[in-house]
Amino acid sequence: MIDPDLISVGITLKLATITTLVLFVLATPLTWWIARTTHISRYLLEPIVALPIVLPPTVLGFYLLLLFSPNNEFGQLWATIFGRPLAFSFEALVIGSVIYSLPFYVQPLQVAFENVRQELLDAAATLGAGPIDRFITIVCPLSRRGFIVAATLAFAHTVGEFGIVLMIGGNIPDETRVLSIALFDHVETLQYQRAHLLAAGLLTFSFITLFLVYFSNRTRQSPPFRRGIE
Amino acid sequence: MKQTRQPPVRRSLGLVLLLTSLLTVPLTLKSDTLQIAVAANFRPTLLRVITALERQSPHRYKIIAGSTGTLYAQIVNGAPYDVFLAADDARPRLLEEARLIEPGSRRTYAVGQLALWWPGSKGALSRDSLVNLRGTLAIANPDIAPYGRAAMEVISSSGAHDYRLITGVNVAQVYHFIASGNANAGFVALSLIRDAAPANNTFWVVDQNLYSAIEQQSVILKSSQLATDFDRFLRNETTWKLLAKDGYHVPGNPAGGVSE
Repeated sequence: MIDPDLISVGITLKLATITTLVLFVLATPLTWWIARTTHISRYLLEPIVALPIVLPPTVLGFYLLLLFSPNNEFGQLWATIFGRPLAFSFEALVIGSVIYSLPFYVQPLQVAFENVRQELLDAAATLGAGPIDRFITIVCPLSRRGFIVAATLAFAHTVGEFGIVLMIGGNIPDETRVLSIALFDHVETLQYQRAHLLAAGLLTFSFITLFLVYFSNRTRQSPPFRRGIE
Repeated sequence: MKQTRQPPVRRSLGLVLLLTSLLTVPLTLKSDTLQIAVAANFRPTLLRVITALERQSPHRYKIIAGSTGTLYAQIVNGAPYDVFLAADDARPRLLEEARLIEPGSRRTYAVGQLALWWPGSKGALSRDSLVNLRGTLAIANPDIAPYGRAAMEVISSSGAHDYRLITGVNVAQVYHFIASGNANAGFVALSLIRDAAPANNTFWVVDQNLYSAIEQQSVILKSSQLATDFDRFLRNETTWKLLAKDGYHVPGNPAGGVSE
């Protein structure tokens, strides 16, 4: 019999990994577009991306729950396609986490993208490199550190997520009971010893993660963190 | 406009002063204010009780609502509450064992009634109808909430088998799960659906003999005349009428010597 807390740790790591991968695929092009566009809609998109930083997670959870409900088109469509309702499933947590951690992925990466010098891209273009070629061979290597920071923060932020999961998770032991929920349950049932174990673990994990982010930032002044044109 | 051009240092100084003054507000609370920590499910009823009480008392009553477990943890760690109205009898008992309450003040102030709410049900509901339930069934976390524990007792004796059980932190969340259409049915406190007044055939007040009683107990944490008066008011006719209206059973015998 595996300790239920270990199962929660497993669910949490799985959730954070998948969330980070989804963000990598979906949010990278979005970030590039925000960083490079001069279109006015940028000023609408930037605050939208940043919203999860300011909003209480309960606001997101509240609306997500309404969205997931079979009472509306989206929830109904999902239930028809996948044969079961979306709320209280692992997939629901992934959707919630992607939205919740979006700014933590986009913002560091945006800084990195903005610091890629336009001349390099122009030069590559004159040599015949297409946009995708330029992105992969120039932008990605130059923004390597931005990617690392973005992915680390998105991952760590998802691990620490609580409010949204509390509202859309349903606390199902082997599917949606993540670490923070298990911790909450221990506190509520007065199992402070177990709560300490999880809390201390989470604290250590968070500190080490942030330490690594800041430390790597400090030691290597790589291009994304220096202004491109002096 | 002029304000926005202030140097940032002065602005942040202003902010600090504002925050400091906000933080010190609780210190200036008058001593004739009673601080009542209450389990969130009882808050609406307590507000009505307080309204009735304030008609005959000049004092102020401050309500701090939270989950019973959270409030318990705060009390153990020295939270300055005068009275604690829990949603169960376990936490008040623990406080009594830890000698954190006024001796002899632990009493049942209300008995909760469990109700099954099933918006899409067909025909009159009973325990036997649970066998036909397909889909998501929501209950409050049985480890945390007394209503969840009671619900679990009913479910396990009902023969229901083809459902997906999800748990909310408390009955209010269970209510929200059902109201938003994400759960097909669920067990809530009768007090919650009294307000919503759902169609007659969609809810069932569970027979009291199908689950062990949900005794909500109160304790006095810091004795004072004000606390004693409140405690007494909690057990008088006016309060009992409000309790009954909100879907609670009135505890024990009326003479004040309320059963445990």
